[in-house]
Amino acid sequence: MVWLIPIFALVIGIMLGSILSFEIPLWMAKYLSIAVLAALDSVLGGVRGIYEDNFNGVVLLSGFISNAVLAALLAFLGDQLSVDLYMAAVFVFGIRIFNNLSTIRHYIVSGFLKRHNTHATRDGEHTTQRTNTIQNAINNTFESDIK
Amino acid sequence: MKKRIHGWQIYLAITFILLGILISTQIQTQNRLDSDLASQSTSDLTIMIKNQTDRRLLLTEELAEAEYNLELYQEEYIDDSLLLSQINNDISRLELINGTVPAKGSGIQITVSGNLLASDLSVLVNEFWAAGAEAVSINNVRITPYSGFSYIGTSTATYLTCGDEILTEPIILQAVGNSATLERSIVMPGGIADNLEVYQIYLDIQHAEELHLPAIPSQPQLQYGKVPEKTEQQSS
Repeated sequence: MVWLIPIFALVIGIMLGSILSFEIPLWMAKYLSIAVLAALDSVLGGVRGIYEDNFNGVVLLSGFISNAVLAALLAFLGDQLSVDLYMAAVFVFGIRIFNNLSTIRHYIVSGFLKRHNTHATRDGEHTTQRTNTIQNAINNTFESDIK
Repeated sequence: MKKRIHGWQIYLAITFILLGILISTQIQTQNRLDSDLASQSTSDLTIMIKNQTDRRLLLTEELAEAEYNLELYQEEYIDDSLLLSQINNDISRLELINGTVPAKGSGIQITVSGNLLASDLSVLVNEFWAAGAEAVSINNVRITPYSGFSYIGTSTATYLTCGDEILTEPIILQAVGNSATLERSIVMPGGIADNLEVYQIYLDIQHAEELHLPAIPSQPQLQYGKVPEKTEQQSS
């Protein structure tokens, strides 16, 4: 349920982008794509930070904007210098995104398994207690009969 | 139970909104890029050019067909107009010949002095027709194929008649046609003028630039004659 607000925000963002329809010059499409990749990396890094308890909102926001702008600028600069920095950025951001996703998945699955095991242990303890109580009652009954 | 909103949720929500806007903008830009000709590959452009060329050829053929149809329609229209004009001309010609409309035109006017007979009038009118007269009148009575000359007699005198009209002197004949030909047909040696001179009947012939001949008062009613069917005409 805690993820409902961010997911809702993402939907609102997509809708806003569709409604506002920013007219980006076509030559900038390539650099915008790398900016999106950098922004996605920042966001996933932020999500990872939440799971690792070292999340900082200001760092996330500043990283989000600066990474996106810098990635686009670097790709542009690479084009000007005839160095394919675009591909390098795609490669690096791609690896980071998959790493972050992998870590997040690890935390989610671990959390799920932890919760499941906790329930199972609690159920087991409860059953043992009930068995012991019944066993004690039986023993008490036998003892009283012998007496 | 009041739910508490964490600080990270707000930061993440702001970031997600920005990410959503970025993704949406990028998708739109990419779509525009895909539909932009400058970003198309050579093979795609070649196919597009081929498709457009085929389309243009089809449209050219369609245009040529439409122009051909237009020409046909125009020709038909012109044909219709010509036919209508021809029919109108035929009607006018027939009306002129039958005397159902007034006639005007150049021709000759003959004033007769002397005692004419009905047969003389018939000969004179026949000479006019033979010389190509298109309309003839005597004393302002239009002569048609149904006209006939006769006499009507009273106790004091006998008068020439044309149909029901009495022709009083001077007898004036008017004929629309080629005036020179008409005159020659009358005054040729041994012709009607010479014959009439024997009986001391003299013809005063004058050329007229424009004669006005009246129409007959009513059209003749045809009761028995009918135009045969076209198939009958062809078989006969």
